[in-house]
Amino acid sequence: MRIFSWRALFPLLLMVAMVAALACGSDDDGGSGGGDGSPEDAEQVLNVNLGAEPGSLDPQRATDSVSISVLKNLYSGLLRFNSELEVQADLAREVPTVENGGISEDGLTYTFELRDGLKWSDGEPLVAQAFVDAVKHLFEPGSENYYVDFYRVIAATGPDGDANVAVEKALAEGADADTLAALEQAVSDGVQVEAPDDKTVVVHLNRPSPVFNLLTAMWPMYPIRQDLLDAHGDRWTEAGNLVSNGPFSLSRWNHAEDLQLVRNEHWHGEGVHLDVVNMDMIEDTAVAFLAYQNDELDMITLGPAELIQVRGTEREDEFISYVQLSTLGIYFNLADPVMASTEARQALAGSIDRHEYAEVVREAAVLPAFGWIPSGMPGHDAEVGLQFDNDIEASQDLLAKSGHEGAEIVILSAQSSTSVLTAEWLKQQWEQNLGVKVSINVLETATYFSERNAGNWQIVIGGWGADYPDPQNWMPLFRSGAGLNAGNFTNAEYDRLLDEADAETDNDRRIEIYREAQEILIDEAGFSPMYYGRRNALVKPWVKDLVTTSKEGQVPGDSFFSTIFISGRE
Amino acid sequence: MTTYLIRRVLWTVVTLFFISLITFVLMHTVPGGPFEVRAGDRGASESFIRAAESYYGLNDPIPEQFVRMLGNLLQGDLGLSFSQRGQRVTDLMLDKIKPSFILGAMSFAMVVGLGVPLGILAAVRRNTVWDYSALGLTTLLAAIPHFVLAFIMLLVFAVGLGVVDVRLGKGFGDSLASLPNGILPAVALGAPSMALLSRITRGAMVEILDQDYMRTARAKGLSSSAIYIRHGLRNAMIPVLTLLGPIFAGLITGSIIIESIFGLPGIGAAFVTSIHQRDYGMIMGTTLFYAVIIMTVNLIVDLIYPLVDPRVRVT
Repeated sequence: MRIFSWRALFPLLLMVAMVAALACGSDDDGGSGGGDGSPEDAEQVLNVNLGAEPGSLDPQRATDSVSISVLKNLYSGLLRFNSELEVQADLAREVPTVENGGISEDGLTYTFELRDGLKWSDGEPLVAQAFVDAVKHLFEPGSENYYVDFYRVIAATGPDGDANVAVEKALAEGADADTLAALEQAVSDGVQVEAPDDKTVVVHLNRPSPVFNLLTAMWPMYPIRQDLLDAHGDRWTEAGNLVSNGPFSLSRWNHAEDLQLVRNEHWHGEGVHLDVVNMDMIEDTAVAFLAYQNDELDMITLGPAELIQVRGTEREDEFISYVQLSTLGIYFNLADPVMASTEARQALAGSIDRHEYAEVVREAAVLPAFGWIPSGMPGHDAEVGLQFDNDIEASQDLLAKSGHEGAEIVILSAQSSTSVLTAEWLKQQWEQNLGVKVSINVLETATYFSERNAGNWQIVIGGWGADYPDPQNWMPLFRSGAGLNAGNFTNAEYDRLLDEADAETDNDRRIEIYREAQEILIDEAGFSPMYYGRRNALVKPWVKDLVTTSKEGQVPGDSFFSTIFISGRE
Repeated sequence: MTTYLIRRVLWTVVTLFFISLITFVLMHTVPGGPFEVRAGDRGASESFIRAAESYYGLNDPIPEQFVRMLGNLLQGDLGLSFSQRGQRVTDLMLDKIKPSFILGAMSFAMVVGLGVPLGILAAVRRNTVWDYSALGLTTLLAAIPHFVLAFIMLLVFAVGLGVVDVRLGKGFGDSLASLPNGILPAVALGAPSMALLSRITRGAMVEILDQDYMRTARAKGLSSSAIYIRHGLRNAMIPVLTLLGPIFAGLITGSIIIESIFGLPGIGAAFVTSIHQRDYGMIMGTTLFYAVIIMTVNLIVDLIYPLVDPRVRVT
């Protein structure tokens, strides 16, 4: 039985379209406009989808990409990334260098001078102490923030030498909870960040760091209002309590429903066009697509099913696709007898057709990958790993040499459609090209992570997304004994190169060292890259001056909402 | 009657204790903890997990945690949410129960208001076009899954006709003006129950209509409304009433599918996501909430039986 005919709707739609066209034709109220000269609409409202409830709007506690997308619009830090992901001065007068005296000769002291007239969204003056408070807040014991480990280069006076170094050592040695808690307390008490006056922030490091400016541009270094923490405790991030210093401030937060940002009149930067940013929390991409079609959202990230619906339709004009700094592929657990064999891993890495995967299986939503450091990141090497480009004969030889012909392999997969799809495809490739027997074990997400952390697996599909645009954020994943090195890849030369890079002050040389290390990782098949991530999104034509970057949270263009304006909304 | 009530309530308390015990044991034995999930693909560093666990007292022995949980529970406190930092579970739940309850009530009104008359109509006009149409409609509604019906409705009413927003559940229950937005979700939520109820009503009515006393009633010249309502419907109500309890409980406890499609901030989504996120306090809270609702509804139904059919007596 046909309960509904689309044809019946056409005359009606036509009428609606005509009325809308008439209404828009008269809508010419001038406005200053922006880059492309189109006039600004009277109503400057942007509607986006976060896709989920933010875990926390406390910059020193946030770890998820949803929260980070919101935080980037609520706060400004000492430094920031421009659209090319280069570090720029934001609240600081300039990016510290040895030449301008911002970095001491020994590389251990960073001095930031604040701009004049900085204010919080409630009009209070923003002083250097806010950054000291932020770092102390970051290092509070029990902060539940794994990003704190990125900042262990900050000096902290402890009972026996530097407390942050002691924490790193304790973590590597697997110290017990009490020891660790005591050390974390020592870090919190002795962290070496000071504000000698209202306009100067001084950070002391326990060793020179080539990436500290990058770390300073990230959200955990955003300033905070200690008086609000004292007054409201954990609830200081609620709308009405939260005071920020970025282009927008938080005006509403209905948990698990939506939140709203409004322009912050006290922001130090150039004129923000948008008055309001509405952030919805639609988890289902199919529903988000409906809301986009109905003009309730101005841009959305597309899921795989929606991507197919967009291709080849007139919506393709609204389609944008760009690289995100992420690499996904195959992790091998070297504790497993089969995966311990380098030849076996190389055989598995070399017997899959990544171009077919990217273009056919994933509908060109991703790019085929052969290296670990993604394209767009310093140190990316387009030549590395090409020996593994679907060379079936060589792979069969390697497998024969390893003595694991006809091996039984289990892929552990989380219950996500992409992960299962990828596992299915790998199974088909490996069974066909290598004659091995592959089974797939799909687990509920939390159980999957538990099994994975416990080391009960042979092969998992996963990867890494950039926190900051430097190989230092990527390479330590495969350092011997590293907490995140779940597959136990071990190579002494690899570790040595990483140490060398950490101590290298010449940036070009440092990147070169990372290239060398990457070659070892890929040639030995410690990890087999499959694809680099892309963002595929739809943006309404009336959203003007959207600036996207290759390092975004959950929302397209989340670093530069301050430049967006609305023109010609239908 | 009073002793019956007291006994039932006492049993409810005992049942709730065992439900909380079983839930507690289950959620702590299932592999995967809240902080592994949160760190996700990045892997959880040891210091992160330790710090977080000690913050929430998860390092203490399980029996100790259970006793502490129970103590807090008696004071109406379920602790902090793991997935939404700084939020108390009870606050989060109270926010979500209201829209779910209102939507459930609207849906229930629709289920009863349409389902029962439709069933009576089909029984009274048995084997006519009325009966067959009702059968067709109810079969269709029972067969179409929730989410398909919800999507079709959004396509027609939001994208097609433009009479509502796709996100029409937003802010539902906050004001009287938001209540009409509940109509589509209520229909999508209640459709399968409505279909079931109307089939059951029809079946019960058909059986009653064939009874000798109905023929007697007709023979002594009673009006048809008196026959069908007083003699027919009342006697057909027992199986219907039995069904109404679970239907009501099911409707007001929410549905993750309906809530996520219409953007309605209800308790159904909270229940399912809390399990995925291993948000222990939230799991306990929502499970106990469901248990209380179901037991209360069952109690009410048991108390209503004797009013409908004096042959049933509570003892």
